[in-house]
Amino acid sequence: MLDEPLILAGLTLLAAEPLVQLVRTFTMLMTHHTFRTVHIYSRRARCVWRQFVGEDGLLLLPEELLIEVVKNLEWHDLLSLRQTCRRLRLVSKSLPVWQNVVGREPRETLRLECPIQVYTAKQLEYMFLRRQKAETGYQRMVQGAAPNKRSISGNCEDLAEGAVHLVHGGRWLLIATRCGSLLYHDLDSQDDPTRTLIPGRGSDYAVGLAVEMDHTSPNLSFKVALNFQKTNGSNGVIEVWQVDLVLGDNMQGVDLRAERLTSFGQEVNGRSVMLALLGEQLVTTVHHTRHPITYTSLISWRSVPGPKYTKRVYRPKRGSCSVRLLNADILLSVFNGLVTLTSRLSLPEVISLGPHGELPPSEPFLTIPFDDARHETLSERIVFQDSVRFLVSVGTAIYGIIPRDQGDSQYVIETVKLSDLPEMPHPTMISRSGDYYAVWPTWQPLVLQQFSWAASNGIQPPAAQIDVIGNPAFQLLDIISGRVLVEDERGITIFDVAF
Amino acid sequence: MAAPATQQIKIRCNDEKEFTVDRDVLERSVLIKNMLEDVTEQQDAPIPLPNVSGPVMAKVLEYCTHHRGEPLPSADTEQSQDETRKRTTDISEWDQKFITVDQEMLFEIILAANYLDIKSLLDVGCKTVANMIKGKTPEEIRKLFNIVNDFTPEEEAQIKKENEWAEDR
Repeated sequence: MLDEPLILAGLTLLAAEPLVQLVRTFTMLMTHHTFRTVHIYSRRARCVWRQFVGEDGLLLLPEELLIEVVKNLEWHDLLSLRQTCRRLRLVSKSLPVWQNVVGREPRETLRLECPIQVYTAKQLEYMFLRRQKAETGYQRMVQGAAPNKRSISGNCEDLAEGAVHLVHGGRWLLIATRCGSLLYHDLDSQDDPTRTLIPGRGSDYAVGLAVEMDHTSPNLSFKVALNFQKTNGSNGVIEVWQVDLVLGDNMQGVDLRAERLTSFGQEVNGRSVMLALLGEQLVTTVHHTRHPITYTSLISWRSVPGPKYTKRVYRPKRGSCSVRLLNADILLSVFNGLVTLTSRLSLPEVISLGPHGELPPSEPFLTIPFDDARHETLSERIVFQDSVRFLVSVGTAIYGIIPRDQGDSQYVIETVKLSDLPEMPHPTMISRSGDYYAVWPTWQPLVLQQFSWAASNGIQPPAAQIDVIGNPAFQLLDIISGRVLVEDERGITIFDVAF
Repeated sequence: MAAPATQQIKIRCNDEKEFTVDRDVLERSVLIKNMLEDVTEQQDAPIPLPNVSGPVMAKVLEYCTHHRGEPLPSADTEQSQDETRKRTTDISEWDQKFITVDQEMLFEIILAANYLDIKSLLDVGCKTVANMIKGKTPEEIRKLFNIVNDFTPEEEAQIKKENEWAEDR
């Protein structure tokens, strides 16, 4: 066992330069146990240390304690710390430190597709900083910089319009084709061939695509609903697939696999404009062929017995109406200056709408007026903290709609103005991720805007614009990866806001 | 065997300084708690603590006395550890006053808390150092802790370039 006086005697014999090297290597290699044993943190040893090395307490801590200190730092302090010296640079790259930084982040803004334990420090740091770089990239775009972009090649003529999806996390891109197949890309991979998740079934299909994430699964897992409709108007089919991550040897995701859960026929009496999946309920909105009206059907997809099954149907008083499921039992709709809530169980159960769609208008149990009755666009369902929310663009502003359950099925609806829209005629779509949303008109450019749910304080951050060529038909935003997906008539373009 | 709460225990530090302390105060230290549990018969000889000096031990005992009776964090509940880990760097008012000491003492307390296995004190110490680092530039951190820049100029330029993007935030 080494003895303190012996070490000190040895140290004082050495010249300054080799001593610095020796002591440095020594502390780098020392475990806490040997640290204790040789008492190097006794007062006398520290005097020798200071005399020659000039360093003070922090670097005298053994590795495990330095990590305990550094674990408490935020990412930007880690980046400062790693520029000070070699030893702290190593500590700032250690696994427990990055597990801690990533672990502190709410799952909403940084969801990993596998449990945190399977990732290396380098991977965690990359994924975390990519999110930060997307924030910085956004600021640069506000100042006029253009984000990196790449095109997804493939048979663009086969793309089914509006049927692309960037899976939460930004890695997996799903593309439905007119052949009825579902293709996918791994956007994080350098070598990114087009792969087939679900094989095709023929040609000339219009396809609707909906994805529901399973946030309770430890590894990435989601359901995909596909709504195939022959463009000649016959043979509607709905399928629901379970998609799971295929794990490699290191327990990280390397691929996707899909398994069909159900398939059933669908009455075709119009053009499908919306498809959504929420638990047991599959929701599809159709513009009726014969009436200037939209019908929204709710199907308990797990228990469809055969070709004749019942569905509940929501019919607005008139016109086309945006409808979303608030939860398993409540529908929310926005139309003509009104926000309404309707109970699913109050809707009539029918097998068929019939050729004329003679259903009475549905009766909401709650209706609140909205200030502005101009053109509305309703976002997807957003789960934020303890509530479900929606964004709606009305006229020249974006509002948040927050229905709250007061217990005993009593609801109140809060509306909050989030921001003014940049000058644009009729925003047609809205997509949101984290604290950002994107809106776009029927022609370029695409507008990205940061917002805060904590009500408007009068200060609105400037919007960023992405110049897209052509008419963006579909767009998705994933703030975890900083990716923006744009589909237009020429194909799919991915913008990487993170640099 | 549960000992009466008033039992007095003697400890001896590496500078021969001795303290006589209530057993429940000392048992904030998991190291000492385990030592005491291993000893079946009453011993009069003081427990030697060769890695802690008298002045540091006095500080540690001040902490343990203030926090006596509080539940010890259990080592086997991973969940509670997770929560501790996730919590931000806030420190209670008393702890903050307590830990307002010079750097040398601060690091001595951290080392002692680690050796004596007093998790809450180790946390307070580590968070305090972290708070000192927060918001500082690399140069300010070096100055604060007398850290010698041991990068080559090439390395330094490279590292600076890597981290440049985060600076104007």
